[in-house]
Amino acid sequence: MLLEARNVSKDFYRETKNTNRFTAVNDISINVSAGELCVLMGRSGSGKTTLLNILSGLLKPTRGSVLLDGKDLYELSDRELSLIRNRSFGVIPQGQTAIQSLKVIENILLPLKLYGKADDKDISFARELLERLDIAHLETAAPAELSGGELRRMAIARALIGKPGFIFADEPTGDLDDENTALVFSFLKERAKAGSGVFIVSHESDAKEYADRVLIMQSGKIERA
Amino acid sequence: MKSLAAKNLKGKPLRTAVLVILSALLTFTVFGGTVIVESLDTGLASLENRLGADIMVVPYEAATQKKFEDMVLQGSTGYFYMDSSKLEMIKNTEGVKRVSPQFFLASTSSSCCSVAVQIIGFEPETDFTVTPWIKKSYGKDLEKLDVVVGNDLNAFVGDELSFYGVKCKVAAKLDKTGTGFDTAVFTTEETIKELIRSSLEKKMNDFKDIDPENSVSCIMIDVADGYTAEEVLNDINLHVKRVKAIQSAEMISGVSDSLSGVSGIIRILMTAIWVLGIVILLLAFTLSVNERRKEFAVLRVIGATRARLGRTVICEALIACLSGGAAGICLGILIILPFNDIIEQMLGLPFLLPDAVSIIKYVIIAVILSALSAVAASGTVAARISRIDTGVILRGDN
Amino acid sequence: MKENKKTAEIITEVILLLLSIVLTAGVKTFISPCEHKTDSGMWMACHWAGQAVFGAGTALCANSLLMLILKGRERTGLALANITLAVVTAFIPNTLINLCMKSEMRCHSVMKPAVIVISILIAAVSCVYIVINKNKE
Repeated sequence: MLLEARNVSKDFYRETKNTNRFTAVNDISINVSAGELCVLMGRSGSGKTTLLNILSGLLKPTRGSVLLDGKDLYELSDRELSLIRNRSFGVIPQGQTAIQSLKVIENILLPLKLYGKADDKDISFARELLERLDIAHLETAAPAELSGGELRRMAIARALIGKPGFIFADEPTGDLDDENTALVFSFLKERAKAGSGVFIVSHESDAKEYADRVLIMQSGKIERA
Repeated sequence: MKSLAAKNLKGKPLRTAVLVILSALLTFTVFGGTVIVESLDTGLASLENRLGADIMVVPYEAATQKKFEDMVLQGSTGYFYMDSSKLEMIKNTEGVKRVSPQFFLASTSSSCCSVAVQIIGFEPETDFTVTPWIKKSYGKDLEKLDVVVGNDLNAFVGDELSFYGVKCKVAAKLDKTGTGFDTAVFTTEETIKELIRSSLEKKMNDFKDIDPENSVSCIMIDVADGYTAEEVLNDINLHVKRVKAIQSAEMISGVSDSLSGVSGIIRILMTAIWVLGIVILLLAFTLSVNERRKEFAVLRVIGATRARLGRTVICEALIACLSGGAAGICLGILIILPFNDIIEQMLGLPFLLPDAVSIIKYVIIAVILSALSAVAASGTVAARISRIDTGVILRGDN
Repeated sequence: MKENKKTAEIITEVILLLLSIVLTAGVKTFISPCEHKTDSGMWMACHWAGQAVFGAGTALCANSLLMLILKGRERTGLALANITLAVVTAFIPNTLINLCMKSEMRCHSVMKPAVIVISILIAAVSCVYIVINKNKE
């Protein structure tokens, strides 16, 4: 599987007037291929998250296209694109993203339940993920009872439950300690080895150690590849 | 996504409780209000139906002291008499098609466990007002000492009622009319004269100088074609002394005026509560969804379609509003239906509950309205949330 | 989790007790039958219906109070007894014991509907209580 961005740009307009245009992503073309772990680094405000959102089918670029195996994501219907996000992509967004009314295990299984049912195999896979991420004891806890780091690991498990072809992680280790940072990076690396394309936005220099490719972004452009 | 909606509701018990109580109030208002307004309408229709005559003639004092009106509308007891010679005079008035006299008597409450009831006697040969509705409940002619009881009397077919020591048999019970006739007892002229005689013998009644054999209480008149009730009424009031002719239509229009006043107030209140309720629902849904913008963005991230987000919001609203609606209906059924007699007394207007089929119809309408307002209020919010720019929301978190 | 069930139980027990008290005290005060004696100095028919409701209401109060005090499984039995007793109470006015002659009189327009509604509520809340109590197991 190959995900390629062709000359994508994203403009934002400050305030409501169209005059104050600001280009967060400026004419970028990159590929993410299966089995590769790609780390995107750069200072905050350089457009990393915007690029990740464009690649993961969450943000329509102002110009350019994103192709998954030759199909333009943003030409698809909402249902088709949603299905790709559900089946082929696993996104770990920034910040806390738990559904408060669901228990930890229900949060993790939610992507599967959106388009069907979670069977026993899925549940044992969810438990395995919890085990690997060292939060197995929190299976039936409510998100409100979890710490920031625990919530982050729950979000990682949720992104991986569907065994997606592409994993997008936006600062996945933002609120983790060193030990857990290493745990998460090696885990994501393992997924890449298993055949997923992994795209990580991070300013953690540790990330480089796990990367097959490191990209540096500055002012909406990829500086170095 | 039904389970997610249910879990979201369960996760915020206070917010859910407010939504449920609010929609219970809305449904109760529309159900209760409709039932009351309809009961008044049915009551009026039934009054029109039961008066049955174009003009009623009563002794002058009975009309001025509102005795007759109270009897018809409130079911209070009373009696008044005039000389039966008036009957002949009226019969000969131009424009009168047919006449039939009635005799009123109030039983005393002297015997244990009974209260004064209005007894109305009619002349079976000429009657055209009471007989049609007795026919409906009881196919046969009344025998001597047979009585027919109004629906609000606690007596049943086959029971024996004693008036002034005369035992009468209940031959039939009339349907409810919502008027004063519901507490009256109807019987033939023959029987009522017997009761009057017995009351005089037992010295339980005092007619002073009135001769019961030659008296009537009220004369019902049907106007002939080609004459207006007004012409005939004026003629009678002018030429027959010490009587008052009352036009049924006028009595009804008096009732109908105060009735439309009451109905109007109820309708305005109903509308006001609904508008207010929908605004509050809209606000509540907007707040509850805005608070969870991030959660909805996450649902998009993991692959929920726009339609699915909308459905989740609408589903939450429907669950809350329909359970509230069910509670509101139960409340309405437990308050309005059993206590309809006290409502009738408080309103002082003809009041007749609609039949079961109509009530079921109002229940369905109220539930549909509550569901519609839930969909309307949550739908706008759902439309907005389904258009959210996921990338922007998640980005704005840094 | 267990704590929650306990509060739900206490709340239903208190509601039951309150309803029983409202019924029992009410039938002597604000939902009383027709008050006046007739000329002969005897009570009206509905008075006896009121007395019967008062008696049944006292038993309901006692049951509900016991439910609140006791802690064991026997409370389910008391709730079951409450249901039958409440249903019988609903039938007292005019079905088991005759009320007055006209339905516009107080015993018909106030006492009867109030007794029926409160009795139905007591039976319904008792059912809810049994369900809650069963779920706890």
